[in-house]
Amino acid sequence: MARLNKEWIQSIADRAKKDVCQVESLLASRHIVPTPVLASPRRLMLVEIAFSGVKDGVSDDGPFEFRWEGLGNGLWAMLTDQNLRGKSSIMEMVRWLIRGKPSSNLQDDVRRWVHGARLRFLLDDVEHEVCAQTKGSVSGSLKRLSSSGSEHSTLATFSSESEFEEVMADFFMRALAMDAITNWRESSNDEKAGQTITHGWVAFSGAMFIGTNYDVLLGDMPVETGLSARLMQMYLGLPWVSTLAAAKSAQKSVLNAADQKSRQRAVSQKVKQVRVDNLSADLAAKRDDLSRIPSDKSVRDTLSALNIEYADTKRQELAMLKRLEREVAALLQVDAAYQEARRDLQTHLDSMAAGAVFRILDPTCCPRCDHSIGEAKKKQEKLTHCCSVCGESISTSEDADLMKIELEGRVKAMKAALDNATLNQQDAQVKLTILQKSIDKFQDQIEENTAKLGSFERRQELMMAIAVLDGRLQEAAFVPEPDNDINDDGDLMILNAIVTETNERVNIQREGLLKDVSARLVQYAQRFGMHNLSEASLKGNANLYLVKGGAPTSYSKVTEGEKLRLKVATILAMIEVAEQRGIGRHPGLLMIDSPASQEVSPEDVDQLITGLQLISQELPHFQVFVAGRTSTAITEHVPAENRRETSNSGFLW
Amino acid sequence: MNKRTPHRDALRILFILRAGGTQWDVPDEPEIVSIFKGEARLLAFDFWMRNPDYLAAELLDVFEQNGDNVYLQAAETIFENDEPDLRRVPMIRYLFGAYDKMDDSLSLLRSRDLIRITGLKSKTKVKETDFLLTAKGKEVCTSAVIQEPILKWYSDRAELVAKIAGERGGTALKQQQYVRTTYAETKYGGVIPPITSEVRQRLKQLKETA
Repeated sequence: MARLNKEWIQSIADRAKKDVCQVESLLASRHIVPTPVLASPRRLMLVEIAFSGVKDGVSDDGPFEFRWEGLGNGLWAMLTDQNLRGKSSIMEMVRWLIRGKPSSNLQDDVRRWVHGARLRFLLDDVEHEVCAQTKGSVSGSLKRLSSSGSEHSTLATFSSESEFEEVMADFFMRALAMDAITNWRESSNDEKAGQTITHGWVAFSGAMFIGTNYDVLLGDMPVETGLSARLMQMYLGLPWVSTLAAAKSAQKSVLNAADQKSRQRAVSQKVKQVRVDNLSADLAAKRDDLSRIPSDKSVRDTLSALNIEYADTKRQELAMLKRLEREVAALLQVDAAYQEARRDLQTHLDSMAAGAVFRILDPTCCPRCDHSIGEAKKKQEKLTHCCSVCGESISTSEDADLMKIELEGRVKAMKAALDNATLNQQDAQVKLTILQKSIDKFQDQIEENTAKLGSFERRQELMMAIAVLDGRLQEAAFVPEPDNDINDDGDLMILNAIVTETNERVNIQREGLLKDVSARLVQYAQRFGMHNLSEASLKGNANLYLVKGGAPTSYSKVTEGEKLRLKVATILAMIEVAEQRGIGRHPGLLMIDSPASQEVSPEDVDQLITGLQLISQELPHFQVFVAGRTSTAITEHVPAENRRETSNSGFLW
Repeated sequence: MNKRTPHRDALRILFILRAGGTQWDVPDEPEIVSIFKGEARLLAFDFWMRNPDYLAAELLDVFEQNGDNVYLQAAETIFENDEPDLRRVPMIRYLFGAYDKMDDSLSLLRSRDLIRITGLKSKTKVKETDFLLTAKGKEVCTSAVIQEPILKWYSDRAELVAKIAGERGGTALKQQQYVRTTYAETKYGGVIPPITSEVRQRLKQLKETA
């Protein structure tokens, strides 16, 4: 065995191109145990079934006790002439005690009525007893009895339903050298991964009970669990099966982890992309906002330039104002001078005219004393051109003309000066107006730009927001180096190698086995009355292909009665082939419930019973219990001591 | 230019005396044509002759009273011809209003026998000085305008002043002239300042509303 293990590990290491140490380490960490050889099959045989309690709510209420002793190999039957007379309950009680857990088929009232139950069975040749107090809570023990039956050792006790189940599962799994089946269940949710499910005794024990549901060929687990193939492999007792199951489960787990990781990566990538998109949009909007707000620097630069221009223009304005003042003063002066010149000229012209008038008016008297001026004085004046009154020289009109020319020249000059001063003043005024307009303009611009400076805070806020968004975007857009899970990759390679290597080993053994089982299956089915069945091919996946009446069909397509017979035939074939080869895991106990249900005809049952009777004689370690309606076929083939039956609508207990 | 202008001043007075006089019908004195009563009246006349802006103000007052466009027109002409500047001969304010010594002018007129000066006298004090215009004086007024047309302004202006003054005596005219704030507020001995700009403004307003 050690040699086989080593050889197996080496093959895996070669396939995976890894060290043996690595393979061993992985096997340990993944709890994959090599199973090159299986322990010899163990046989289970019921010796005694007993249960008691108190019925209520029925016509025969009151205390009851059922006890069926002296059971052994062969065919046993529980018969009633009507349904609902307790035969199924006997089967369910056995099932409860073997599994430690009642099946859902156990009636609630029966569960309540039963206060205590006991099952004695032989495991190979050693007698055991499981005894349970079931009134209310469950408690009890599992004991190994000595061959004399007097001494016994308690293997385990239990004080709750879950403990009971644990005790029985632990005991039988170990006793029958069965390994738990680790199975992979895919998740129905995309976001979640599948998970590993471990099936144990509850699943295995199903192969010993045939109820009224014939959906699956082997056991009683629903098709969806995908357990049929595994159960078959297990019951066939193929080596490496549990190793393969564990390796496949580990392989799926690793693949799933990788898948989960990539799924998470995709989801987080998606989330990240959305975030990057949102951030980018936010950033673009903020940048756009910012671009609409002129930069503070440009505003300040503009303002400073404007202030310089303003100050400059203001200085020019001041200078121009002073010049205008001067020009106005000059204009006023010149104007005054001009008016004076004109007035002087006017005065002079008037005076000249008045003088001319007076010149021809000779004085007649002295203006001082009013005395008449004598002729002598008048003559004297004509001669000397001296005034006849005061004796002063009389000015000529030539002086006045010269004066007139001079005054006219002055008026003209003053007019020119006035025009010039007016022009100067107007020029200064125009220039001043232009300067003042510039100042107003600069002032407006300064006010406008100063108002823009008010947006400084808003700009700062935006710049801060952009910096934050930028940082977030960089962070969000960061793509980490994909962490190559070298370890997982390495593990996966080894696991693939394990699966391939182990699968090959399983297949080699299985093919021959399945062929033998298929051939035996046809023989049994024919003995159960399916005479038109000519071929059967049991596949590794527990599918059963048939040729019936020359036409190919399969297990799922035949009638319920045929299904029942095929189920029993398959188990029997597996038991027989395993027996011959010294492998196989089926403990040799089979309990068949109520074959006389609506879909199964009495003829089918008769044929089945007839066949079973013969087979039980051929197979020394085979114990079959059949629960059904009383029929001649059964009573003919099952001896009276092997029967528990009622008549006249009586109850079995 | 501070020039002596005795002849011009004398002629101005002569035109005033002719325009503001009343007919003299004394058979004994056929050479006298008219009489101008009172020196104060003469000074009042002369003030309006020498300050065309003040005269314009009077013309506007009259126009406002009777609405006769002639007065408005006359005031307008005064400004159009820059008379407040060109024709202004400043006077000072004295005890009884605008004053100037007229001795020289009156002497010139008297020495040519264009006027004669008379009056009512008490024993110690001259009560009123009257001025008589001689036929020769009247003749000179007429011939001077023909000989020197530039002098026609004086003749016309004296007529306009006389029209404004009417029959009013010197005291009444002085009171009239005191109505002008600027005139009234002038210190004694100070030159009575022009009111050209305010009258021009008033004229402008009246023309706009007219």
